[in-house]
Amino acid sequence: MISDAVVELSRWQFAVTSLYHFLFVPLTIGLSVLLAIMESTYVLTGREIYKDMTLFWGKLFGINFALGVTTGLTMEFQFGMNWSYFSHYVGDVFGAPLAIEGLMAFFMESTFVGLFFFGWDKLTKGQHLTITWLVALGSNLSALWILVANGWMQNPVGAEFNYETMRMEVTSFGALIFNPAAQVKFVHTVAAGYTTASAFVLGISAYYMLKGRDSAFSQRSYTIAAGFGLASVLAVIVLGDESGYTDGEVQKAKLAAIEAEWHTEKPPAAFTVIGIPDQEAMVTHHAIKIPWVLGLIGTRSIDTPIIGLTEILDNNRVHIRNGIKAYGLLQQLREGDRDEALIAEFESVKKDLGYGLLLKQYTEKVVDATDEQIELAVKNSIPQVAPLFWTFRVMVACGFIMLIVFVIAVVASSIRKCRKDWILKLSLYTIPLPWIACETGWFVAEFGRQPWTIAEVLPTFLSASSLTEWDIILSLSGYIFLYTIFLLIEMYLMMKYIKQGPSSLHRRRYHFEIDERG
Amino acid sequence: MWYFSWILGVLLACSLGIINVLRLEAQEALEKENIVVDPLTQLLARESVLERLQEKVDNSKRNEMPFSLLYISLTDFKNKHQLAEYEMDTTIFKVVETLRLDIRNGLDIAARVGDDDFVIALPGISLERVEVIAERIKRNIFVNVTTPKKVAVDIAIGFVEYTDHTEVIAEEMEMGMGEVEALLSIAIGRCLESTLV
Amino acid sequence: MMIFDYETLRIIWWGFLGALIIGFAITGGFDLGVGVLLPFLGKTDEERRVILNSVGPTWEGNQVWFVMSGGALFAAWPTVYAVSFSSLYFALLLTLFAMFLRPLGFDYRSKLPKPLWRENWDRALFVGSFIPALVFGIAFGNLLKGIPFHFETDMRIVYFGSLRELLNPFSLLVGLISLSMFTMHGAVYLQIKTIGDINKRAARSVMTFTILTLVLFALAGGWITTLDGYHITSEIFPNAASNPIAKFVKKEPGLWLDNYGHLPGLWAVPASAFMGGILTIVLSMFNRPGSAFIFSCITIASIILTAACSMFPFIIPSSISLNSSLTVWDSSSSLRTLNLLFWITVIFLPLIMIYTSWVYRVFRGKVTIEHIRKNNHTLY
Repeated sequence: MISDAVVELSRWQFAVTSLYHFLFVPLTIGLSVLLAIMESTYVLTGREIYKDMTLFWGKLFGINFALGVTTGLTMEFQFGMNWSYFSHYVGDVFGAPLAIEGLMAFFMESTFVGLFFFGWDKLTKGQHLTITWLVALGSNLSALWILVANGWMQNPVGAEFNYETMRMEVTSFGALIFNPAAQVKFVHTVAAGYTTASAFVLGISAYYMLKGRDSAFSQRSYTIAAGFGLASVLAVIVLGDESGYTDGEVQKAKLAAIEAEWHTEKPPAAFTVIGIPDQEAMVTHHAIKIPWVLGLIGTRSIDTPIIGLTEILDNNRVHIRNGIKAYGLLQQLREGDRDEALIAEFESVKKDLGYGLLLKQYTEKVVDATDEQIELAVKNSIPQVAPLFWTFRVMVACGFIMLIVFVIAVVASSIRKCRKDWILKLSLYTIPLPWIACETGWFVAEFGRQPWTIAEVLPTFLSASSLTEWDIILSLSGYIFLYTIFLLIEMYLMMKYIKQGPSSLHRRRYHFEIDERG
Repeated sequence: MWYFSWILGVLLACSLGIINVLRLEAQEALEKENIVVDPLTQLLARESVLERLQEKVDNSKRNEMPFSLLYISLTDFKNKHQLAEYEMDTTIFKVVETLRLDIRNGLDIAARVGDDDFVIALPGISLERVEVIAERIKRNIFVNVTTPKKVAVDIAIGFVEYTDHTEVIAEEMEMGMGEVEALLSIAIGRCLESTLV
Repeated sequence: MMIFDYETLRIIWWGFLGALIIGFAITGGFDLGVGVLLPFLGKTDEERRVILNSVGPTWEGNQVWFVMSGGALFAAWPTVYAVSFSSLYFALLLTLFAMFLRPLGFDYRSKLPKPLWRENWDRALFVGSFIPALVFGIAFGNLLKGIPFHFETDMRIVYFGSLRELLNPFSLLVGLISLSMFTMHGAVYLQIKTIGDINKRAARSVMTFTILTLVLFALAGGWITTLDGYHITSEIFPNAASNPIAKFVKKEPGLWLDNYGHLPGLWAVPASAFMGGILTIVLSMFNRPGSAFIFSCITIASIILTAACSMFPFIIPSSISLNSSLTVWDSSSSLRTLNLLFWITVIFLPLIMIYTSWVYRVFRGKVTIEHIRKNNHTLY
């Protein structure tokens, strides 16, 4: 059996590499669209300043894009490298969206990005604008397919277990693609990307305006970012709400954990704003609650209850007992028995096979599991509540603060005289918020699915590759070491170019070039 | 379905961004039309220039950059040479044409503040360069504007380097337009003293 | 819409996988070759910028073939993906770390004028090209030898090898072949895109590395006759569900030439490698690098196909648990998945090839030092 240490280390490595990757992805997704907007304005109005904007923000886009690609290479291969059982067990289903991501999105994005940077003199205005839109489309489409894949991990529809091949196999690609979890995740995540890029451009433009530099340039950048950003942050929040609603339908344990909903309350349930969740006692200390809010948002009704964790645990106990039965039948099938009745019985209980697999963490002989071991499995069949509780609230807080900031920004950019210093400073300090929200959001999504890699199908501890601890310690250290160096270099370059501003384009009309004439 | 709503949403969000900035463009165009401009030379008129100057001064203060004013005067030229109205206009016109060669669009401010008087603000240029520019302007005008008479202008340079003692100057700038001349003499005086780097 | 049976789809997807790997070798391959040649063909900063900008606008698109190969492997051959990537863990890790240096190297290198900064990034680009080119071959060599892995009853993969074992002499030879053929390819590409001194140096490199490639390839060919090959001894059910542990396999020296014995026409494949190589040299000498490029593509494709045809139907033989070996008939995805992926590939792959060749057309022409000087701040 795999050692706990190997599983833990593998999880840490995946968390570190994917959180690192997601430092750069949202900016790529959003900034590519902002660039397309700026260039569209250039082509519409013919004014050179918009081309300068596209070029300058494009330079920052390039610095960021490089690290997005670099960290992305790791992700494509990590499934096979560190999660080989997962790759075998669900590859038939999970691999397809990844392959489609490559064919549909990566090729388009990467092939045309070269043209975006270097093709200005070789293409007409209209051709180059189309290229910029295609780069934006490519990055958005790649988000689509990877989130179809991740959505399937959260809500594994359209697939069934095949005992001959010992893996999950696709039964309906339509179900896979139109998985409600995938759909809402996709729109929520790309909206988060748009918000990130808008906050980035907004804050940096505010910096230039605070310094009184390149005001025509920065005012226009600010204005575009404010308008686009307001629409994006509204979308993010609305879709976040929709995600919660979808969770209420397909990932009840995750929703209950996020909200520290220990017991099924009388509907409509109250929303716990803040408190100290206690998983041992199954209670939240010092809770401040707002009545009715959770029930209304989570179920959009006043009489559908939100299932509490205690009830979920009771349900899981039943699932696990079914799972033990399924596992026993599977063993017989694997030994070669092909009796019709056996097969039929297996098919009827196989949906709980995953729950049976949970017991493998405590004993190899799942069929002979003791009651103690079963209780242990039940207890650990839900995620840890406290981390989810807090990260979720951090994410939502960031979202609402950004909403306020973008409203103010739109108002400020509309009323010329209203360009006060405090608004600009607020815009500048908002820059870190979308990043905090993105990372906490992914934590909620992935940690909230534990102990599963594929919800209710494949437990995390079974999914890892059979490597040694030292294998992973070495690779994890390598990743951390290299990624940190790269991040430092990237930030150094980014800050350098930001400080220079559009003068770095050497077009002879911006702030640091003032003294060149005369 | 959410995929379709994404497409619509992106289009909507992009439109919002573009509309917002086009509105800004329209607003700026409108403001430009409302600026009082000297009809003959198309330079800023006396009424409009003070606010602009205030902005540029604030800017230079924030960025700790030098700030210069050139006060160009054809003092009493008309009377001295007994010129007719239209001849005077031609002279002024040609003078301004020459001035434009050294004005950087978007960065400098040029205004006609009196019948014979012009002010150019040059933010961000060092004193040595300003002096060179002033000399060049003088020379260019002398060379280019020859009809109906050769023109020799007087140029007064006001230069300020923003360090710690700038507050006083900034306050003085808030006084009325006429004090520009007063400012210039103070500034000239100062630049001969201590506020240079 | 299902028009092929499982057996046919499996063969088609074996072909697609090969096509993607060859696609990477002939596109990303010359990028790697150019990176390897960078410090030697570019003696000054400006010359190096010329070299970098000859591949600059197109190299990221080429790298996607590599990512795509991984993605297609995952989607169509998930068990192969799982076994190869977890077993070749350190080889892949090394390659990944090296490949990290490329996007950063290309984009960041010329953003600061400091010579120390630029020289270090040049070294990084060299390392980032050299290692993947070498490891590509080392991985292939190990596939030919077989990897020491086996399946437990629940299909958990256990690997018994080590990094040192991966660096065995035969695999190192194959690694040198891939390094040398990519460098040859990069040299031909540089001969197309540059003028003057760089062009002359590139032409000389074409000669050197093509000859080296062919010599090493012949050596490997000879070695294969004595190497242990694999053969399925039980009955093959090409339309059955993918279950790798249900067959019997034997291992004997020289078995890798079995397929060539059954289908003598296959000898055309290694023959075209030699033909292609010779024509590459000849056309390069006569200053027709565009045509030489086509033949260096053929050389590379033939070399890869030679190995693939030797191994068919094996994809990853297991050297210690022979019956666990992964073959075309028992490690693919389900029929439905292969079918869907087939249609998507058939639509998108031609599209990709069309717009990729359009991008190359837009950037056709030589890259010169004048061009670098004129666009100092925008080029790599």
